[in-house]
Amino acid sequence: MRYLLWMIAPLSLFLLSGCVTAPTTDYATFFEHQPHSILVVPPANKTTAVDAPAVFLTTVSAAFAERGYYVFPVFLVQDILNDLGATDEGAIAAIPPDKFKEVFGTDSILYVTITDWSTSYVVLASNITVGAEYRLVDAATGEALWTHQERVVHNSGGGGGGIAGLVAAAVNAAVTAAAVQYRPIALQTNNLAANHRGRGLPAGPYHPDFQKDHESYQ
Amino acid sequence: MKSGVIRSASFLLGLVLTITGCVQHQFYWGSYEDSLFSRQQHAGPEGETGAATMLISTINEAQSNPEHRVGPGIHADYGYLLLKQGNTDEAIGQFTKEGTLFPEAKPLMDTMITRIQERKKKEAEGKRAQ
Repeated sequence: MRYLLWMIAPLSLFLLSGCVTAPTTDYATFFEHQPHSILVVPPANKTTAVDAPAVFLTTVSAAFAERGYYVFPVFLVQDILNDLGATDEGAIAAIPPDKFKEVFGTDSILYVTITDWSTSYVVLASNITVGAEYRLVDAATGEALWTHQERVVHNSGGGGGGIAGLVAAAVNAAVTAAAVQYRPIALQTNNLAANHRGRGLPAGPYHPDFQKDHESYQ
Repeated sequence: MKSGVIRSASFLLGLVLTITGCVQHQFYWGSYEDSLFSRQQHAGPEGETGAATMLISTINEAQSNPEHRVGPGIHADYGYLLLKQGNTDEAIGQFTKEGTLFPEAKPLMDTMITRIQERKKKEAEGKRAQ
């Protein structure tokens, strides 16, 4: 069973790769500055959903840490940035990368811009879309180490089941606007972004593949 | 139609990864991200108290199993909540632990500890001056 899953998972990744844009990362720069730690700053927002950045920020840590990196606690980071006067995305973007190194001791900064955060309704179901652009920057030099785009569309499905099914679908549609519906999709978006073999984040020092997977990331 | 297939595949992949745990885990996360989301949804002391409970459970769960390694940020975040609740001694303990487990965090944890100690010193001097 487990063996079968190991075969299916890469295949699904392959299928999935059709829906994201080509990467722009040159991994030579990444490996030259191989980071050990990642500071995730509060995301920028290109959508009209005002609570998207705050919800998204709660879904990034484990996905990227599981690739083998130290990820700083996001709320502590956010509050320290607030204390320093960086309370919005413009102010955060204006901070020179080496300042993050000085204040937090981080190797790299992960800037996220949310590009999609919406629900579209069809007759008996709804699609929730979450999309984001990622840019990992070397804190010492300001060089971009990795950029990536990811977009996940989750179809809630109408389901079957006659009248009961219809009622269930109506109830689903009524609550889809809530943050709680977006959160699992955002978690999935981050997991996919970090784990794309060949285009995600190469294994970091806490991962058993550290420095063994360079061939897959070129 | 094609995009439908891709969507289904992407969702299935997510399900497969989540349910089977076929992805190897480096760290034990317990309810760390639940605690973040809960604080986002319930701002203020009440949400923070709930989050602190989730984090101490997560830390205890990780410590009770030698194969678990507590996720980065968990001790630091718990320490930060303790600090906000005024429990400075335990906060320092948690920051120290984070810095020991993860050398990447040590500079920030040392800064936090120094700030707490400076503040305590000032408060003590303020009391003496009264």
